[in-house]
Amino acid sequence: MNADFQTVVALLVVAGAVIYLVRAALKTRAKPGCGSDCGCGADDFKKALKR
Amino acid sequence: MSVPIHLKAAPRAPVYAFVGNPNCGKSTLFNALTGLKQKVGNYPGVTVERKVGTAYSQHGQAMTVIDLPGAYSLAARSPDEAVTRDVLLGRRADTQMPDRIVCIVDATNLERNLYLVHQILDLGRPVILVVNMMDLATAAGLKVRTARLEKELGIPVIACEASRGKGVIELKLAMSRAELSLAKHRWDVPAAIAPAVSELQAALQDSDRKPPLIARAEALLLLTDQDPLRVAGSQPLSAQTSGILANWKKRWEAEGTDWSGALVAARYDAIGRLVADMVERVDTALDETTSDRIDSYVTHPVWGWTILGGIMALLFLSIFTLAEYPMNFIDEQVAWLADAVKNSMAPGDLRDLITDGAIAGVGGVVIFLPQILILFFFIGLLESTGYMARAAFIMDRLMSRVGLNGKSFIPLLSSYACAIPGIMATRTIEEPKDRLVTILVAPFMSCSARLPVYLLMIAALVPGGEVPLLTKVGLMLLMYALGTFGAFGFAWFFKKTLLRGAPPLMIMELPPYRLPRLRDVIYHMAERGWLFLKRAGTIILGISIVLWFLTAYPKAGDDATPGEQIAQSFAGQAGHALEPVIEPLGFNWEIGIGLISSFAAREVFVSAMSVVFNVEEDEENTAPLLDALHAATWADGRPLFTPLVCLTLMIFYVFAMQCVSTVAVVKRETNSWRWPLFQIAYMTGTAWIVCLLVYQVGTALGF
Repeated sequence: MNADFQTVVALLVVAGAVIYLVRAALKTRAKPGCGSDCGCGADDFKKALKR
Repeated sequence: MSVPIHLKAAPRAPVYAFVGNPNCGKSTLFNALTGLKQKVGNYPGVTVERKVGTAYSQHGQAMTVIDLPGAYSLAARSPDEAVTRDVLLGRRADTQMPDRIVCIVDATNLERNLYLVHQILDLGRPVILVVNMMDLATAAGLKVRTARLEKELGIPVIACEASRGKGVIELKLAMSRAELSLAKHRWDVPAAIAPAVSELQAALQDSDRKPPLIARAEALLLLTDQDPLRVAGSQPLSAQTSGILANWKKRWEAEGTDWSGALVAARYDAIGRLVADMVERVDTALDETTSDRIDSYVTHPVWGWTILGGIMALLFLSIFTLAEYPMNFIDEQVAWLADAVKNSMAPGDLRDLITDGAIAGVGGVVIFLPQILILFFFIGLLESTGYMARAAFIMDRLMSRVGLNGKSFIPLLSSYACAIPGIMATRTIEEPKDRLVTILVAPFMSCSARLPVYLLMIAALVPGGEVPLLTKVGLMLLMYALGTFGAFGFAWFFKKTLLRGAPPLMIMELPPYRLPRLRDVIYHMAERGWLFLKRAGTIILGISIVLWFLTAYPKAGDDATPGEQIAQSFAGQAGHALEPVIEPLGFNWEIGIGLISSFAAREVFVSAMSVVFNVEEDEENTAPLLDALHAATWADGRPLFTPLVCLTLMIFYVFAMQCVSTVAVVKRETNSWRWPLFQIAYMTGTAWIVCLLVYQVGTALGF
């Protein structure tokens, strides 16, 4: 894998990470909370509501 | 005309509500029936929101179960109790009114627990009564006659020991019944109050469209309590009902008669008569229980503090000693992985991104997993034994002196794990000003996200040498104490200035000591460990990748050294812009990059340091982060991470508000941007001032 190709792939990965973080941040703003990763059981609650 | 079978509406899953006093075992039963893993603890106020799950009847039919926050009565005094009241009275548009109610009572405190049950029986809904903690009642010398209670009330009464799973099958069978009888509930409302009840009931039926029995129960509640507390989602009373209520209140005030008190007293009389026949004290010699004997030491003004300090010291000692080997193992694996990638790929941006960004950033945080697991194992043990309520009791003496409500202890305690559930737990505090003060100071408590920062800085204290174990433990205790006393200090200040209020009074029930349920403790520990890894593999990985880009671009040219590259990168430029503000604290622009990026989450500081300092390593080998920190210098060659700078950085992380999720939750809980912005300003301002004092005084003293 040459250096130029590596640069293109690396920049694509960075762009993907930025999109992921922005989406996560917007999700937090739309529904403020722990994002279900603080151990408060929000995940279980969401699953139960879906059912 | 018959309807084809396929066109008949499928029967709706019946909705059960689990209701009871705080700490009577509702969530334990809820988890046992639904298979969910909602947090349980041996102290009141663990559940502050309604939780929904699905259980299955003996015939396999789905049943919706709602676990409601604990309440002593339907007359709500705090936001969490208001949720319970509103769901039961059908006042919430977002939650269906339950078809059936499971009332859980504590067998050791039957009379007090039955007050809520008595109010619920007024609702005229099918009720199942679960008498929980029968084992503790027996140990306390009490004999509860559940069969007689069942006969007297006319509803199913189930003896239960939820923590051991006893009675769960019987409860499931009762819940599976197609028909449940209504209670033989007789309660004579005093004659003088009856007209008021009738008039309000009629208004609630007409204007608020309530079913007759619910309307009667709500009328009794309104006359008893005037129903002052409303929360978001709670439907307001109609103008007609409010008018009638105000008229009766005015009339009673003019008469000078306390009919509200008379209603409450009449209910207690009815409960007293009921309980007199149901509970027998079989062994009066058992007045002082084992719990009482332990409490005489654990809640002692001197011994209590000594024991609390000893437990905390033991906790940190375990964190440092037990975690050493697994941490070294993870460290070696991370370094091996980075070297393997370096050796198998040609030089280039992608290789650097994987090794210096992803592996360095995530690996730098994952290494602290063993310590996180040990911390939560100990917290789980203390919660499940009932010790936490005693810690709240001895802390209350101190907290009441600074004007904090004793009920603030549980939210503050939860904040040691994470400020978010801690801030949500403030819903148990009745007084709005006390609740706001607790929300404002809760993020001072050292959460688990700060742990990696503390541990890294403690390890970096002595360049090239081993930090003595007692120094490590002492420093950790110091950081936790600084956060705690910082919270108390600011609570005192706010109660004296911005949020003045009457001195608070706490009535807290001390639950009996129980043997810890190891399965729950290990589950909770594993859950926290998994969440930590999940966070490392998602948010922290994402930030590490972006941070790598910000340190690698724009390119300084082929001849530039790694140091020159990062200095002129985007991250370097941001760090340099911040440097004039943080230089008086002993921090340079590289630390500044860590401070900026850790606003997303505090533990990102460790990832940021890994990314920032790893770029200066040679091409083939990955140096441990600690070596990189020890080698870091200022432009004039002075070492950067001196013991004083490490200590100052730890203090900065104690006081600074650096968690975007907490900011979002404070905004939601206070329904305004004013308080979270104020919180960011005063906490980060305090961090800067305290660090300035520590660093400048330390430097002047020659450290």
